[in-house]
Amino acid sequence: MKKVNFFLVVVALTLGAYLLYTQVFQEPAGVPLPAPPPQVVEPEPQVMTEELLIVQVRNKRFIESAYLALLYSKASNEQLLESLQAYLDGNSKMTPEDVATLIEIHEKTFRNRHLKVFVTVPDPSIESVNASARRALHQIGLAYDTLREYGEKPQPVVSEPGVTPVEREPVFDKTNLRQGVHKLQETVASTREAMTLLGKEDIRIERFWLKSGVTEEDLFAVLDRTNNVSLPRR
Amino acid sequence: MVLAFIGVIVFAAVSYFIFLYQESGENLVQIVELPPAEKVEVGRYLVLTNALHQRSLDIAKTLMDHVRRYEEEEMGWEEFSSLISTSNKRLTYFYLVSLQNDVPDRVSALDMPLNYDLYMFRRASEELLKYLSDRSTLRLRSGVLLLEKALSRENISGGLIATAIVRYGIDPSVVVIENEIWEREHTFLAQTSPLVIFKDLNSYQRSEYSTFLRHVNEAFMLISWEIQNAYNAKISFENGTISAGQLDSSLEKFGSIIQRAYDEFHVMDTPLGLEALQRDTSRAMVLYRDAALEMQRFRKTQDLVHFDNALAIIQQADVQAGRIGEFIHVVRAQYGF
Repeated sequence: MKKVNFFLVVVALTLGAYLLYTQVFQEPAGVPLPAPPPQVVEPEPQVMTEELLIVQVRNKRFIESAYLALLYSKASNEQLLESLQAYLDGNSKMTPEDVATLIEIHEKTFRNRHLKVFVTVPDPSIESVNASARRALHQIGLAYDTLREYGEKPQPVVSEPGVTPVEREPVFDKTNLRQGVHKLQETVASTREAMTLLGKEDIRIERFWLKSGVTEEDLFAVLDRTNNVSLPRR
Repeated sequence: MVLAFIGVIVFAAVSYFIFLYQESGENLVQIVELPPAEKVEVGRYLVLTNALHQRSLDIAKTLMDHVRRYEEEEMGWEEFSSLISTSNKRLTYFYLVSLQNDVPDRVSALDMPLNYDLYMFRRASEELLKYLSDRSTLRLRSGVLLLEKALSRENISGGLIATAIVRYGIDPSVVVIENEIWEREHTFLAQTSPLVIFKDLNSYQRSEYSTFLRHVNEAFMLISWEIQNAYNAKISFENGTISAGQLDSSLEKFGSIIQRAYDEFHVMDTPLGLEALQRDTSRAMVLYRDAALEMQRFRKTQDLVHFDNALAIIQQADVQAGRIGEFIHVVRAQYGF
């Protein structure tokens, strides 16, 4: 009996010591109150010059078109995902051909938006924002690459030289569709991140314009010249 | 056996109390004592930012509710358009106030995330505005997406502001926010060109709108032409190209054209839905008439001060007329006049 008691005391001591160790020396769990993020002092130009305004107008144009391209793609992708998910779950009356057409329509609209952003070159000063937007759009593009495989026709079969290749029937492989859906769902985070960065850069520019008293006339005066520089300066 | 059992209980209890102590410590906000001047500055920033957020949140919630009611056909197009238009102006105003707000260094890190919420509200309402003009469901959906996103951050933003208020020992009830900020909201609403209520028009209303808009547009074009003539005449007189008599008759013509445009405009019937345009045009016309009176004084006294006064008034009126011109352009584009 004494042996059992002794054993229990040892167990209690070990357990207690372990609990003490975990509570005192280790990082406590739980969600802390929101603390202000580390202060980052961003250098802002103090004087507005014509050159700076031209750069900012060009950047703002890029920011706005990229922000809207991402926003519209996000809204459009959500609708597409909803339809595709319903189809995969068997809750849709769409035929496989309908699904392929739906994907094609969404893809074309997306490529068009992507292209408009792609050809706009902002100033290197907003390189990280630019890269983030392009990354998000590229990721959406990759998802569409996979989705497009659903209903795609395989390469025509060439039996002999000089004989017309045999057209093959489109393949509706739901595995491709599931992968594409998954990839498109995964773009949400990068899209959100890119939109936040773009929005914050837009706020910086707008605040600077307000504080430096930029007028509509100033903007109109430089608008024409912002189109002249279409390639990034090295 | 009993000893062992007690041992276990004691250790468990001690560990639990240590755990509780740590948890309570976690939730304590580190109080920072600020010098009085900085405290006032930080207090003003936090309380004003909070007010801007609260107002924007209220508008956004109402907007969401109205979008839902509109989609469920519980609300008509006109009421919906009018609400979106006013909400957009108010959200834009709050965003602009926030951008112009002085941000104390102490809370500068809070500023960008808080501003981004207001940015999303403004952008959302702009998408809804675009929906009014092209009725694209994608715009409606995009506007709603942004509103949802911004509204989902309500607790995060509120938490950031509340924590900062506690941390810096701010008593919101003693912070004074200039009334001017809220009063300027009304001026901003009045100054921003009224957005079109895109209601469906029958053929009679179409013709009424078209006539009224054409008349206003022509009146402004005529006035603008006469202003240019009067100005050129004065330059020519100074250069000795025309005589004093010719200058006088040119300015007289300017006065009579403005008076005629003013009179004709005020006897016209305003079509329903264009009352705001009527008010704004009337205001601009009054300014042009004041300028004409100054010109008359110049003709009588030859004192250049009156001519300069007239130009200053014309400049104000031109700003107003420019906005009206944009508005007319939008209405015409919408209805294909």
